[in-house]
Amino acid sequence: MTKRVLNTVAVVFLLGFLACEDPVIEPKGAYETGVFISNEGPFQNGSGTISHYDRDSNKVANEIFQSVNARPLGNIVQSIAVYADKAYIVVNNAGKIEIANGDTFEEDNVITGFTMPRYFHGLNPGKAYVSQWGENGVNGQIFVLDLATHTITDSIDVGNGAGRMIQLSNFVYVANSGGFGTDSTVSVINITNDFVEETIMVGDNPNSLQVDVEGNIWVLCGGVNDWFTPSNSTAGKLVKIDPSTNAVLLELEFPSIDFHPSNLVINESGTRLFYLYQGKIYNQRTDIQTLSLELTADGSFYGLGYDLVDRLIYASDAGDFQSEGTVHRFQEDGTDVGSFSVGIIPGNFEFK
Amino acid sequence: MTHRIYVLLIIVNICHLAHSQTLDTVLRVQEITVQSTRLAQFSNGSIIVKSDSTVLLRGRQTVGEILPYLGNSFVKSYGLGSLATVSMRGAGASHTAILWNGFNLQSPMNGQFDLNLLGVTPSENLTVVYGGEGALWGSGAIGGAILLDQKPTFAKGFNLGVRGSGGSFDNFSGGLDLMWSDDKQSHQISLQYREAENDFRYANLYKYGFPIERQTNARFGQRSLNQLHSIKIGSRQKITLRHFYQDSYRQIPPSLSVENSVAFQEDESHRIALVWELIQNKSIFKVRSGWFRDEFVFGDENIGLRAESQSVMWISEAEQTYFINRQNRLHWGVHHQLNQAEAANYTHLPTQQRIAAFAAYRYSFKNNKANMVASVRQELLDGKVIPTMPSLGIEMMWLHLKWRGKVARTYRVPTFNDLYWQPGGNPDLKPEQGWTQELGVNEDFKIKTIHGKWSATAFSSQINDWILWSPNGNFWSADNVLAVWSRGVEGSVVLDRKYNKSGWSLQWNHGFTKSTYEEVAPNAGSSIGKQLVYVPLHNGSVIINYQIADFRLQYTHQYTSKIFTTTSNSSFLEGYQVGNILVNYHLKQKKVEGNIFFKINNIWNVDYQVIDARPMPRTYFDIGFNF
Repeated sequence: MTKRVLNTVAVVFLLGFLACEDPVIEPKGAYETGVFISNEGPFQNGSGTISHYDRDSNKVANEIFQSVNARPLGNIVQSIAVYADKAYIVVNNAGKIEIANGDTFEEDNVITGFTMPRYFHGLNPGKAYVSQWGENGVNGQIFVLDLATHTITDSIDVGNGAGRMIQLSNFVYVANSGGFGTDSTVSVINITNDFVEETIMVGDNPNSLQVDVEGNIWVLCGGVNDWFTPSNSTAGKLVKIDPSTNAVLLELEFPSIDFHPSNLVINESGTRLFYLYQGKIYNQRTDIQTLSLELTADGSFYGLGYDLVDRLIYASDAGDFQSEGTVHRFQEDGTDVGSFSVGIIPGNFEFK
Repeated sequence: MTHRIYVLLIIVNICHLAHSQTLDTVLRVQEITVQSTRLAQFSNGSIIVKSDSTVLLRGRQTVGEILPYLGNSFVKSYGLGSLATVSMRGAGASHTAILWNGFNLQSPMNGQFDLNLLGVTPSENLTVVYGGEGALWGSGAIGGAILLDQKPTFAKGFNLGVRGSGGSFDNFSGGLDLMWSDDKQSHQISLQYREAENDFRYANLYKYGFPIERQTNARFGQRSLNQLHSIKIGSRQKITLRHFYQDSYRQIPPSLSVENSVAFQEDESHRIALVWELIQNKSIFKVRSGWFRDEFVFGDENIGLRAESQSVMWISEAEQTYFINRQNRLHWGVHHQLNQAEAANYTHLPTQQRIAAFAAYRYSFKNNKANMVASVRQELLDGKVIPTMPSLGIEMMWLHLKWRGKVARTYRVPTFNDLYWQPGGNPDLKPEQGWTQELGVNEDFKIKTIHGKWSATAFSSQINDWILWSPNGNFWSADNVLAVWSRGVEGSVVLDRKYNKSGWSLQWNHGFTKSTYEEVAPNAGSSIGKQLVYVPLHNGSVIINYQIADFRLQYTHQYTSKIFTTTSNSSFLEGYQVGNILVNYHLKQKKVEGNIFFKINNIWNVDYQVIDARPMPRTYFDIGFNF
């Protein structure tokens, strides 16, 4: 009798144990966590791809959209953003955004009608902004998306070459990178009414921006690159903005007009900026008032990212631009912690 | 209207694998065709494929469309009517010389020539030479050469030719040929036009469910005028004037990976050439000068771009072929070329001046069982000496087989884009240069009533200082970085049987080409030892003819193994096979002679791409006539 009771208790306990564990073990999909890398793909014809890196297993899966959905994404995959469980893949030359399940990567929908779209920024589960270069690459716009109906509902004219965006409370700051022309502004959009509230003059061709620990905005300006009359080129600038007044607090100019900095990222503590200059990774402490031009890692990099999860810098090397690129991972002090092979021309990262 | 040959009537001569010259050539100066002296007399050791008049629909097809059926060239085509370039023997798009009546048409701006802009009129001959040779053909002939020649004919009276055809996707073409000649003068004028909506259907492999879609923005139109006027002065001199004009408008269709395209391009060409020939007892002397102007417009409203460029080439040559005696002959000459071009991305108006001297010596052994040609060319590029180009070719009979061997040096001078394009052009570039070796054997045979020939060739070719554009910090720049080793084997078999007016023939060409990156840019280490992009390992063609009286049934077939699209060979396009059927009725009455044809292209309805994301049409039809 006692034995039967014990057995029953054991069985019940075991069932209960299994029942408790079940939902925890079940993953939502192969890409529930990890790092997505958007690979632009070869010029002119072929298709860009998405690679996925799993931090725990150290495994890389390439061409994940193609392998799940049996079709390519399209020409020049500019960027990928994961927002509200969905992946938004911006396909520049194909003028579309492919939407996939963020965990399984099964295709979900597609939004067309863009002209050279660049980046996606989710505002709330029903609304997002997409920056695009627009007609002729000089009519930069922010398109407002309805994420429920997958339609473009509005457009906001900003500067030439509208590119990367960051959000501070109810304001989105857009770096107008120049596109096929030049520009020297950051547009500030009020997301409650979709109006440009202010246009801030910064350096030439601002290409990326970040918010530091004190809540200030840093804008990296590449400078003008004039092929025909190199003497008309301008130097890059790192500009600090106070978002409460949108006033420029600091302008740090780069020493040469021949090289153009890009890809500003910031570390987890918000105290150190990293960027690419002449293909190398440099860093800048946010509490220093001069340009330190301090080298973090040598290389020939094309894209840059910072992973808040394991506090590592991700830098992509596009190699010969015609075959697989490589992603290198660095600690903040520049220690190389390994690399892996991805698709053709890896450009942007999304950390999840 | 007298005898005209548009599509050859008989099926013998399906493809002349003519090996430069029969060994028992007898010296008969007066009969030697002056135009192709270099080809016929001094290109020892090469494989030469003459255009098969039964395959080529003159006026209807471009060289880019027909070339896949002439041996084993791989034509990189962006689609029907779109840009097409050729890769021969594992080399690149700018490594095949395109010789129009002896003048090289390769663009001084990018070194290429669009073979879909090159038509063949009824009086022109198309010849493909496999294997490069700097001494004989000059810069650009690294993988081989394509020759398009037109000869004046005399004492033929008046001829009128009319051509017309139509087909799928509103593809229409028409042509008119006027020829008049007596003993002293010859005049030929050809007008040609071709246009197509080109909205063919294809399976979009880039979209969910692979829907069948129609090609958009693919319309093209082309018209050309080709004239030749030749006058004999006495019995020994001849002056020939050639003029060619063509303009072409083409929309550029979207690739599968983009939604739409509004891009277009316009090409306009003028070619004027004057030749003076003097035939003496023991020599032929020839002076020729040609002026070539090409205008190019590219527009794409999507990116707000309209780019115009133009280039001018002035090429002059004086040469003499001297027949010393039965066994020895000498060919020598000088070459001058002045190139100029204008483009928005050049900061100045660049010019390039090339001066060269060349000589070739041919020796035939007394028993006529062997002969050899030794050649050399020395060029000054903008006043600077570039490497000397020697070559040696031998042909001999041994074990009842014809053997041929050749060693030649090859080169290509840098183009204006490579040198001066801003950004990235590099004024310090050296010419690309390499060596090529080949060894071949062939035999003509007869089994009962069947005539046959077979041929096998092994080649090895090194190309060094290959100019490559690669990323360099903020932009791409040109440098002499690549070294490529291309080697392989080529084989062909021809069989034909003829009785009375009927018969059959079969021709098969196959090429195996291993072309690998030996030295690469420092950032492309993963491609060392890998196959070149857009060079298939296996490539070939089959042509079968069946003739019953005046009807001819022809099946043509081409096949290509997988094509790598990345230098590391990580991505590739699947191989493909394409077959076509042609029915031709030949009509001959007293003074009228001509053909009516019907052709089914891509009869197996294959969906394929030669360039990534550029679809080719499924089955389509052509119907037409020529008289």
